[in-house]
Amino acid sequence: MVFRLIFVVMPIKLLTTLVVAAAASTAIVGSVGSASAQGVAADTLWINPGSWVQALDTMATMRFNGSADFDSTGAVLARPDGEAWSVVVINGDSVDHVFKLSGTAGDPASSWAGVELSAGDTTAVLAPALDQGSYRFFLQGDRARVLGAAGLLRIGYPAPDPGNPDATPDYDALFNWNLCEWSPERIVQVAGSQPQNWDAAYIPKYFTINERGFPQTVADPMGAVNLTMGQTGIISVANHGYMDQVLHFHGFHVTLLHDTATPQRAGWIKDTVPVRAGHTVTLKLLANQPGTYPVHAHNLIAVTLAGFYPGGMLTQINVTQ
Amino acid sequence: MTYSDLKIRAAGVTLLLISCTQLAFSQTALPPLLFSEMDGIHVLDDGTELPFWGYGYTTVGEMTLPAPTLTYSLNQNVNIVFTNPSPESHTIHLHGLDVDQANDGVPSTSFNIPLGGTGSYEFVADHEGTFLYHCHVTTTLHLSMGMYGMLLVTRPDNLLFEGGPAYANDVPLLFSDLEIATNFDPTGSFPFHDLRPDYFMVNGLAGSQLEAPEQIIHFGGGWPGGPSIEGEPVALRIGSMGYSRVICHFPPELHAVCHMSDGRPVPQAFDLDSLEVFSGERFTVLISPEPGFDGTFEAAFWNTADNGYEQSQFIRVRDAVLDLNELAAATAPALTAYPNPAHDRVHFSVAGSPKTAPLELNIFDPSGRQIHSGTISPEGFDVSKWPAGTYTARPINSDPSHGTPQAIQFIVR
Repeated sequence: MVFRLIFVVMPIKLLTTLVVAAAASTAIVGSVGSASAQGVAADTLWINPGSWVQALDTMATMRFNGSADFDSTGAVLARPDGEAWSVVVINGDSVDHVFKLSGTAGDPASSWAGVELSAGDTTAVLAPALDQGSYRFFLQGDRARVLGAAGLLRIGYPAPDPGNPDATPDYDALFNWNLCEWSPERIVQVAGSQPQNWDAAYIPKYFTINERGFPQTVADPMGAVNLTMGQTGIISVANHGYMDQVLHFHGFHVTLLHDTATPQRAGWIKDTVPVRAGHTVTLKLLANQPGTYPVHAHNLIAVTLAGFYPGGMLTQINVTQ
Repeated sequence: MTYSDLKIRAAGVTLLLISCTQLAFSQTALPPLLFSEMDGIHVLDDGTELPFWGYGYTTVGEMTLPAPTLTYSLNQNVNIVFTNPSPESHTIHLHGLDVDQANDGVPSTSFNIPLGGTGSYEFVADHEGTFLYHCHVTTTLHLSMGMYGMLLVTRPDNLLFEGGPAYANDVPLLFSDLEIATNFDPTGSFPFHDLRPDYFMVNGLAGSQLEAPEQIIHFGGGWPGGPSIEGEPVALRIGSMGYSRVICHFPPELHAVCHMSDGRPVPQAFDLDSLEVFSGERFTVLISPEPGFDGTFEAAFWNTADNGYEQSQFIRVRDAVLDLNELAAATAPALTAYPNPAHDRVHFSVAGSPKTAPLELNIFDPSGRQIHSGTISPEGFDVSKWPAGTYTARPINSDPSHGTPQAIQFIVR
């Protein structure tokens, strides 16, 4: 009986899945952030409240952007290693915030007290010198975290300069993945329109890389890894959500260069890499075989979009000859 | 389902579909190694018969949860021929083996094995280690339904890797979980993002099922089917196909050391008291339990959405010598004291031996002090002046594993 039921119903269900997933994907297109928002050398960050559409949900949100115009894709900062750095932050929110950094427990990023940002004010932030690696910058507190006010900080990886290969001898391209899961229920609660209930079951509905769910991820120049044979890419990954994530690479093993949650794993070579909530990893990938290969969260509820498979934290590696 | 049934069924559906299906996979003359089906029944710890989807050896004709562990030799050219008589498409993704795109098992970039189809996955097993395989069609559902297994690549010299430590034997430990309601009603499992496992397994087993004798990890040599090299550590091949985060807690007596992760040696092996395993990760851990160890280590399952604790399973590790002793004791000839209780004299005999045969015995008083060592004549002992109490008679050079009787106790009044 079970056999017959599956035989008849599953194709219908899968067809429905594909149709609805396609519709959901189309709905997202209008809200996908621009590639230019991924500019990494910004001198100024704007905290921009806004609204964000994912499938059938329109959600309040908040981002760090490189301009006063709201963009659903958050900004990425890049700075040299070993020297103090600064950024100007303009708080466009209606409440005060604290700008913080996170890294490995006890390192200069995590032990840094942070800087208060008054509502509507412009603040010059002077941050401590950090070692080469990937870190997070974020606004303190659950409201800001649920709304997505966090970004990736890449330290000590200057953009490759094809005209001066000696300046970047170890890699050919840089990529960054901001991971986050999103719960419309929690967003509504922290946005103030419903009472907060942190004891309720946490059931995120959207899972994104750079605020995109698959298939939008493959169109993201920072999210999809495009390399030619023999090239090396550096991938900075930050997990801004509440859930631990774990990324599985098809076709390749990557080298962990930096892992703020488990720093003792530097140098490990893996195909399945945990990225714990609130932490970052920096990965090196050598394009040693041609083809197209998925990279995705292996907690498989995270490769869905509004419940449909495939979606969410799924992107791909393309290696050309 | 028998293999014959399978072949007939597969042939029938192949004929039905051959005119309308483009099979974008390589054909091969090799017989199928694995098949998939969607009508399996897996018995849970409480006796519930749970539907599952899975893989099985075609030569066996039955599926298991998890699927059979596939073991290959380093640098072996592997060709896994897979046939799918089930009503949905399936694939085999070779998780962690870095196979090329054509053999990756992802429908959109590789190929599907549709209803009635057969295909093959070819690769060179060029790294030693612990790997996994699973279906990559509607993966969230197909994994939860049970379509996964472990794959090992080993060396003929019993080293973990070139220049690595020697070990005695491989013990696959595949952690996984499932949501019972989904397995009973997979068509009603949407939406997938709220799938929350409520049954947690080690090699498909849970609770009391893990206490069965055949599930015990034996070490120390001599156990049939167990360690073949006495004194060498046991390699735990740990992997996870679950939705949960699993934390293994190793007692210090196991002397657990992590040597590999995801099919590669770690830069420096390290001692373990706990090990966190996320979905898709693998670790190779050597354990060198202390002689006589008989205990468990815990695998604790944690929910990844809210970080709540779910459940623990316990994996038993036992010195093979203990089992051998028990086995020998069960079959060893019995030493008898008579009369028992004794007042004046006590005699000893061994079942199957003439009562007139002398015995070599050590006798211990109720406080454990040895009061005699040597031959005891058929006339026995005069115990009329012994203090009342429970005495122990132990044959000299007692070794139950070599067929000599164990110690007995007798009472003097």
